[in-house]
Amino acid sequence: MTSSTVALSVRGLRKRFERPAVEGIDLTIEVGEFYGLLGPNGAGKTTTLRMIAGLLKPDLGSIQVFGIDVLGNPTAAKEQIAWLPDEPLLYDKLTVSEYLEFIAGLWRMDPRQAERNARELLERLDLWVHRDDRCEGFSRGMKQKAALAGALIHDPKLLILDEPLTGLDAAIARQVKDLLLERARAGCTIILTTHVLDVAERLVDRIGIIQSGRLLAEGTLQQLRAKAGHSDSTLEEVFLNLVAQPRALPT
Amino acid sequence: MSKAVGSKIPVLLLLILLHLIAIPMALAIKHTPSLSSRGAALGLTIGGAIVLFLMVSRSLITAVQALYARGDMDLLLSSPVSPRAFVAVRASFIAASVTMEFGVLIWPFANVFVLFGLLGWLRTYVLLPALGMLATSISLVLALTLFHVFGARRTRVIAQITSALFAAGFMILLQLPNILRSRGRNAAAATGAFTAGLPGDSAFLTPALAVLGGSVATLAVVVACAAIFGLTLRLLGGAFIRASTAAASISVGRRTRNRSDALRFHGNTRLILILKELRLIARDPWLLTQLLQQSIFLLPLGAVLWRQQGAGLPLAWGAVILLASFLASALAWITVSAEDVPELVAAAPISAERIRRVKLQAALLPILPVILLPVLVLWRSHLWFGFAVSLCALGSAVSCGLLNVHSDSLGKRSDFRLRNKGNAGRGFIELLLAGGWMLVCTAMVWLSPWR
Repeated sequence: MTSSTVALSVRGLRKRFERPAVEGIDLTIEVGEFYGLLGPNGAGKTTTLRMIAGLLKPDLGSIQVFGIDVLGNPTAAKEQIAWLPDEPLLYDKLTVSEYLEFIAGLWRMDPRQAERNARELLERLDLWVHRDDRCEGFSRGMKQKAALAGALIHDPKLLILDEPLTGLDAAIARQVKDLLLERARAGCTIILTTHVLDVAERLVDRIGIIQSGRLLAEGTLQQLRAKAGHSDSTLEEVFLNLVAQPRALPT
Repeated sequence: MSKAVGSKIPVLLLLILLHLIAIPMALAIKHTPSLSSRGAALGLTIGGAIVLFLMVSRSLITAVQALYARGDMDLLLSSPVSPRAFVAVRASFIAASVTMEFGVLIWPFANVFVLFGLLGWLRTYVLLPALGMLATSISLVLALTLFHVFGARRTRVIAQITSALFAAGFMILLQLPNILRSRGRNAAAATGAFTAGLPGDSAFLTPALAVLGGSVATLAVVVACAAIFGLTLRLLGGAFIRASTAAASISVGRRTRNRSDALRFHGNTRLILILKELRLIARDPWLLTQLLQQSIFLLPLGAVLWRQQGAGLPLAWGAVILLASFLASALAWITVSAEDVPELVAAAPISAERIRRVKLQAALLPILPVILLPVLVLWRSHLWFGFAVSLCALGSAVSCGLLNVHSDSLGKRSDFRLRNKGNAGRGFIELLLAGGWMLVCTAMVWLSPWR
């Protein structure tokens, strides 16, 4: 793997709050790859993603996004990244179009390009008719779609999603999944966490399983099945098997 | 030192300070000839009325907040506890908190006065809770009336304005003798004229005369207030629950402008950031009325200073410097510390310092009319004076804004009223800054060759 094909490179990442949250994680994700980071609650998934997004400083380790050092040159790295947590990052008193204009401004986009992208995303996510409505009246699903439009408007090369499907109904979840797959096919690198293992099984190219701040196992579903010793299991069975005996397995 | 203990230290210091201030006052009262019973009753009536109206001003806001609070309401209403009991607990909490707020300011004086032999002040320990219950009853009636008349969507804002008017009206009334005196009459004559206009031995003074008459009458007043409180809860408990349920079901979504077929985005990052801040402030009527409410407290100061002359000009212009400081500090707190989505801003490829600078500009923009007012009004008659006040108002606004922009504390817009809680030092520094700029202004006027 050459450095030009690497979208994200994480080495020896460590973060400690009152107790260790992330303990020496190494990750390499290729350009255009759809990567799923799975793990039980409190495993360190969100902390890892927040450090990659430049929201949290690691105690130790290095993070490179498309060859840019996130710690040394955060502004340049953030140009490439979009961050979408489970709670939509929205301003209730702004309309969707004002919100998208604000994000386009933060990412210093050309206004014409931003208008085109915004229109395309709003139409794609069925939000065009709500473009002049304030977000305060939106349902959970509409808020998540508006936040996703905000994350995608500046055409990020690395999309970081923390539980993007939490609380969405089936129809909206489908819209979001389709849009993510479309972006991945177009060359966007995506890293997401989810507790819905069926979603991970169907969406992602590679999976990393994390527990107690350490990467337990990593690979395609087939590779993980082989590691767990169950060649015809579902991801759920593989996941439960792996997290049940973390110390016994090689990473 | 634990955080809990640390946060109580300013309150303890305030209590000690008030006790110390009360000592010379107690000595002065001891050496003043006793007032007639009518004079004492009048003092007690006016004092009680002022406290009652200020209590209503405070408790009205809390009552309306309770009306809209979701929090544990669904849980409580779905439990086997009677809804009326739940309302009674909330109302008792409002009465207790408003009593404590005023008790902290009044009881230190009562303690010292009692120590100096003025035993009548012991009655404040029962009269203040009685006033708290009466004020809460009035607030509940007012809150439900506003809800009935203006509807769920507007009640919060109207209640803020009503509360501000209650507070401002009585603060101005409190200054009435000073205002009259400044019109060339002495305070005694002014107060005498005021009392002369009151009905003689009418019902107006009866409660105060009764309270001054003895403990039984005091107890009767307390029982009457408690009875009003109980009756209000009994009659309005159901209406409060119904209004609260209706408040929870209002739709908050708004359309901001007419739909257009095309999107029109601005290309300038600074303009977009400023627009976003101004939109968020302008679309939050609750916040705007909070700002108005707190600004209104400067009116009495302006009223007092209006007739005071400095270099032949009203000193009231100094209030513009104070107002600019207050507004800049408040708006800078709103734009920086109360940022709704700090994570989004932190994830953007733009430096935190640049964001802070733009936020400060956004905070100062709405204050420009206040800052320019003196120079615009006085440019024909007293240009230098107007320029000095405007310049110092700008300096004061920028320095108070900078203080808040570089503060690390985070909060929510809904916590606006409590923004200096646990950060009394910042409030004190803001006052010092405003005072300093007022001194600079005074020096500019006095030392000016064009005076």
